[in-house]
Amino acid sequence: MENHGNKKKVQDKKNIQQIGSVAQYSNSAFFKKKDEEAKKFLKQHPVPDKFWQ
Amino acid sequence: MTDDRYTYLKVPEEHYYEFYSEGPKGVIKKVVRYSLVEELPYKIYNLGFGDWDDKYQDVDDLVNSNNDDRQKVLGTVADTVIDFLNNHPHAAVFAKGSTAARTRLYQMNILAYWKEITEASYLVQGYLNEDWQPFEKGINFEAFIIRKKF
Repeated sequence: MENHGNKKKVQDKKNIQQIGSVAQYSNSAFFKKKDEEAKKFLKQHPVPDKFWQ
Repeated sequence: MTDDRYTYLKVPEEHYYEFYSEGPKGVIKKVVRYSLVEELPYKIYNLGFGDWDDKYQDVDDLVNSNNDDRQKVLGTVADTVIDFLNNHPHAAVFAKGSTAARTRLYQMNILAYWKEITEASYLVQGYLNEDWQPFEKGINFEAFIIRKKF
């Protein structure tokens, strides 16, 4: 299991690179709309407490 | 899970991931973003995903790119969910497609990785008929929420 975990971590490092600029996404009307829809949905249909237990 | 994935780039502090789909239609930039939509009592992040449109400088999730790599794309999105939850172990990810078809795609993706999801101790619920309930195969849910077991 530990070996698998280490292997996974190595794979993660190999697959993940970090980038510095997100300016092109931060003003996305699409994401803003999606977020408003999600907030509205979750307000109307709150996740039950039992989900968190 | 298979190893057939795209390499993605990420901006951890902003919760953005991006990768490039490659196929008959060319190279298409895909963007995934996790946005905090509820903070209390627990943090819930909304999964936003779509193609980057250079012309409009925005994301579009209604386009069907038909790049013959749907599984690879969905597998990569699943990888970002796992990476995000590994970095936010006490948060949950909410997913609801812009259309019923898009939501079904999310559902197919959950099903494709169901064994791995349960073995890795993730908890998934779906919303249907005015109620959140444990995810089940064969049911078309309207929305999903996933978290790591504490």
